[in-house]
Amino acid sequence: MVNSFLENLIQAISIAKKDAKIYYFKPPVIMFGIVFPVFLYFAFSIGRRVPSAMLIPGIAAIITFFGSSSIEAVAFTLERRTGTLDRLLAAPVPFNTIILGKSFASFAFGFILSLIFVITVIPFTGFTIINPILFVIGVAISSLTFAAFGMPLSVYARELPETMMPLNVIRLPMIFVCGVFIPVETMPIPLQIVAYLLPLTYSVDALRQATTGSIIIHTFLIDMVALILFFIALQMLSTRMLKKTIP
Amino acid sequence: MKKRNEAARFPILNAKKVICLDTAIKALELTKRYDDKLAVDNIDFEVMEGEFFGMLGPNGAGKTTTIRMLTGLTKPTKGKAIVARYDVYRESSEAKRRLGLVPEISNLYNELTAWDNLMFMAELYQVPKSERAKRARELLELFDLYDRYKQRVMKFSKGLKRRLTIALALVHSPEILFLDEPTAGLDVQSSRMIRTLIKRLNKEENTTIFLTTHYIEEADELCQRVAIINKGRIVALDNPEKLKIAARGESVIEVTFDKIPNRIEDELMHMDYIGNVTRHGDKLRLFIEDPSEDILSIANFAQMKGLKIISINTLKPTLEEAFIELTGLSPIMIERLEQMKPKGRGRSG
Repeated sequence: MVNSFLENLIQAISIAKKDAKIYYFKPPVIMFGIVFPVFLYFAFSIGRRVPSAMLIPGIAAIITFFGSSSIEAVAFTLERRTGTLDRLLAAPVPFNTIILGKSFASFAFGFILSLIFVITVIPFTGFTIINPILFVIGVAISSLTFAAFGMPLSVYARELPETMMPLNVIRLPMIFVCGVFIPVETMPIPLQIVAYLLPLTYSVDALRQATTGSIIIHTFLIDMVALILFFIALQMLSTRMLKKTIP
Repeated sequence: MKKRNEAARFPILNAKKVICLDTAIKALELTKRYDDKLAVDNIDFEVMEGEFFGMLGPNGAGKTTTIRMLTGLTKPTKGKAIVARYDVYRESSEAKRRLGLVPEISNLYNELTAWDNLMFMAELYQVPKSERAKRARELLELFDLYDRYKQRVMKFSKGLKRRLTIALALVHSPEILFLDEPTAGLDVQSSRMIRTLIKRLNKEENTTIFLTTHYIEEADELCQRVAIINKGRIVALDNPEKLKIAARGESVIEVTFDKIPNRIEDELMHMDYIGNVTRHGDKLRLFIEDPSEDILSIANFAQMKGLKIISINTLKPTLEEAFIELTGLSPIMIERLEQMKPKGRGRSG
């Protein structure tokens, strides 16, 4: 049992390493994972008096969100199109291991990208993170959840627009609903309900608490648990969907 | 009706009746339906350990669907696939661990080097860490790719990609190797190299080979037994020699006279023992029941007509004849089949 778990974990890490080598520098990943969030940062920071303690955790969450969810949206679709997905499906690798491996590759991308952003903006903005350990934990758990976010949409797709279009239709409104620029508490009740059904809300809240140091430990824990539950649910959904793609 | 009688001459293995302990692959009532189309229709067969088994059929006959069902890439609508004693769907990991697959299209990671492709597959198939590099080096040398191990696969030619695809399928030393049209579209040199390597693998390492092809000569040259598949059904299964003999109910004598008088075909056709006469350049092909008795009658006919026999040969039946007879291909399809033959190949017998 333990052996089998370890074997599958090693297989998942191999898939992640392979995806990192192949997909991290693909144009759609750079476009949607790096360029787009950076422009978003400038759009909301230049000429506006938004405090950096409010803005930067939100942008970090968006970078994590877009970075992590872009990799597998691209990888799955391209692998299906080129036939390399058959390599994984013909190998003695369980479906959930394939999904986990792909999540690991996305997780690493979003995690590293978000930390690079924060480290880069600190000297220019004078921005400080009161609790860096919780901030890193928050970014890590967020990356893992968002890594699984694009998966259910991309498992079936053969062409990139089939994945990217619906993914962006979901991702873009989330920026405005999940408290990145407008605190969730100030929004109308129906929007607040929608916000709490979306993982980005919990990520923004956790990173903001870690940045400002105003941590209420049980709400931080709730944020983490919610994100982990989203991750598990999305993994299960993606695994089920991948099984269904076998003709 | 005629077709059914012809098909009845060919032995079709009934896997339900034959159960051997050393069966490597077993297809039991394997069926695949895509919406209205029946791609594979209730096929049964067995492949023994160490056997070189071929599946021959025209495009769209169901070869690739069969291989995909046997390797767990497609779910059968009905029936069962047993590979290396494991049910491909119920004990998927165990079965997949023991098989290697070379798909019809070389599905390599083009962005990675040949070495990285091999290492990734070795990790995926859990080849022990201490053996991975040794195995990869052996395969690269075997397939004459070692000097390119640092090159990205996207720079490889079609033939090189094909060789690497086969090397990847062998990284975990599988008991059974499935090859889907391994030489399709390759140049003569690459095709020959691949055929030689597959033969060696089967002979020296006792690897069971399941090969699909639409090259009749390839099946004839390599396979110990051949299943001819058409429209999703196995119409014949036997060794190539038996199929050839069974395909041709009558023998063919090819004769060249010093001249060909007008209406000679009609005159020959009037002779009792000749079923049909066709002309091929300066040669006449006579379809007869028993060549040993009828050659003398042909010599007498020549003498009577004042013709000299330049040459006379009994033509050996070919697997192609069996294939065409069983698949019921039209003359247009036969012509296409001719075009599909790889150029520059010698006939093996």
